[in-house]
Parts: sequence; structure tokens; C-alpha cells
Amino acid sequence: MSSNTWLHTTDRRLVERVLGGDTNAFGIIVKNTENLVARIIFDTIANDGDRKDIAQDIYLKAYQKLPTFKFQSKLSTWIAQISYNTCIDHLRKKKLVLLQNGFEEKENVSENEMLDVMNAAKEISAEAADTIVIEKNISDILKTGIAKLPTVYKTLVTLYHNEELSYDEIGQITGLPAGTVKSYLFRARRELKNHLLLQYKKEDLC
Amino acid sequence: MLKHLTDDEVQVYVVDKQNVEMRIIEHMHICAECRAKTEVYRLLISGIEQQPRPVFDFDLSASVLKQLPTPQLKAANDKLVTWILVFVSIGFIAGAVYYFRNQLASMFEGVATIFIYLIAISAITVIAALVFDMYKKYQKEMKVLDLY
Repeated sequence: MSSNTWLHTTDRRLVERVLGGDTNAFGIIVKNTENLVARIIFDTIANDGDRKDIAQDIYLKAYQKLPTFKFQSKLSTWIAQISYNTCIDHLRKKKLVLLQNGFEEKENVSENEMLDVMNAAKEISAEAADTIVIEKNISDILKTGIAKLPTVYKTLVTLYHNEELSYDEIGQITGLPAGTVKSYLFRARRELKNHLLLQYKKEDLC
Repeated sequence: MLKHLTDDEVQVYVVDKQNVEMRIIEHMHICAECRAKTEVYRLLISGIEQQPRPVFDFDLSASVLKQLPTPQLKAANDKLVTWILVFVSIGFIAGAVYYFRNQLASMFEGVATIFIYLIAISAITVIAALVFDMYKKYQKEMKVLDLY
């Protein structure tokens, strides 16, 4: 049995149990999907206080909508879709911009700066042997870089690289065509790369 | 002069190696600058993957389960009320028919059987249409109430 078929069978059994009145089965669904839901919430909602309410709201919605779930996707993807929509609705209510870029103007790399950036790239490449120190440093720089990304980019990056979802699955969750997901990911990674190289260069000069 | 790969092509080489074009692979073999770019992207992706997984500082499952409605019990209660109403209505109608049986029988004396059938069919049709309409309205209102 392939892993997809197995997942669908498990999903179906769990859903049937919940619809039959077994709320503990819904507890299992929550446990199985809360990592993915947490990822989406933490990427989109900055306020700690709002996160708890939104997380509960997402699962209450999922519970209410469960009879309409048609098994056309994985249950986790469906719940992630509810999570993403709930978070985006929350941001819209708060009038927050989804594609607002947190990077400073000067972080947009110009032609001249690109030469410096290229040198930094070569340095990083050359020092790649000393991986532990570099990876720790890069991880710290990236943390701030990811935080500065527009909300949509941030979500796409983490869903793709941390949750290892496919373009199609991310498309289902965000409602974006797979091609757009791909192109946003290219842009997001490019922005992160520029940020990383400039920060690395700055730290190197200090 | 050697034409370097675009940034997107470098990303494809790092992220989606199975679908990368042969000319990109060949270019990587001869171009140190593009290879350096791939190294940066590799470090970048490894850095993203190393970011700590966000976790809630409360038991989400427990707090959600606490708030779940108990639909089975509610549905059972709803069904019980419906059946009580049905039996009370049937009892009430049966009682009225039994009590007024003589008057009812005399009402239809002298009326042709065909008219009795016509009246009965019309009454049943109207009642069925009303019940159907009521059910549709009920479903619609339940949908409106179902905010999620």
C-alpha cells in the first residue's frame, strides 16, 4: 500500500469516527496536524496573544466543516488550507499588508553592490569547510531575514523547505496556482540570499 | 565570453536537481562563479531547514476538545422532541376524529365518492407541499446559523 493510500485510509477512518461522535478521534487529528498549523500561524500572526485564539478557531472551524470534507486532498492539507485562510482573514481585518516587504531599501542589491556580494559568496563558498561555525551564523542571519519576508513568501518558504510540501499542495493551501508558488519561492529565496550576503559582508567588515 | 546562469537557473540546480537541464549541469562543471552561487544557496536552504520548529506553549488538543459541542446528544434530544410532538399530534387528531366521528360521518352523507377522493387528494397534496416547504426553510436557516 503506498503512503498516500495509507494516509487517505487513515484520514477516512478518523473522519468517520469523528462524524460518528467520537471526539477523541478529533483529538488525534489535532495532534497529527498541529505542527503544520503552528507553522502557518507563527509565519503569519506576529501577536502571541492572537495565536492561541486563532489556533482554536481553526480547529473549531475544521470540526464544523468536517462533514463537507470530500477526501480530494490529504486531511492535513485541508486543515492547513483552513488555517491559512483564517490567518489571512485575521490579517485583513487588522488591515495588514500581505506582500509588504520588511527589508530596508539598501538591502535591494544594486549592480555595484553585487560585485561585493559575489566576493562574499566566494568567501562563504571557500569557508564552507568550517561548516558548524558558518551554519550557526547563517542560521541566525536567516532568522531575521525570514522574519522580514512578506507574509506570503515566508509561508511559502517554510511550507516548502521545512514541511517539505509540493508546489501543488502549497497551491491548495494558499489558493495560489502552482506556477505562482514556484515563482514566489524563487523571489523569496533571492531576497534571503541578498540579505544573507549583505549581512555576512557587514559582519565580516566589523 | 562565458554567459553565466540566471539566478533562477542556479536555484533550480540546487532545489530541483531532478528536473535540471543538461546545459545547466554542463555550465556548472566549467564555471566557478556559478558554483559559488550554488554553494550560497545550499547554505541558505540548510539554514532555513535548521530554523527551530514553532510550537504552542499550551495543550492545543485539550483546549479544542473542551470547546467541541456534543452533537450526538443534542441530535438525540432533538429527535426525541420531534417524536413526542408527532405522537401528541397523532393522538390529538385521533381523539378529535373519535369524538366527532358521528358529525364527520354525517358531513359526507350525500356527497359523491369522487368528490370525497378529490377533497382528500387536494388536502394531502397541500399538506405535503407545506411540509416540504417547511423542511426547505428549516434547512436554509440551519445553513445560515452554521457560521463556519
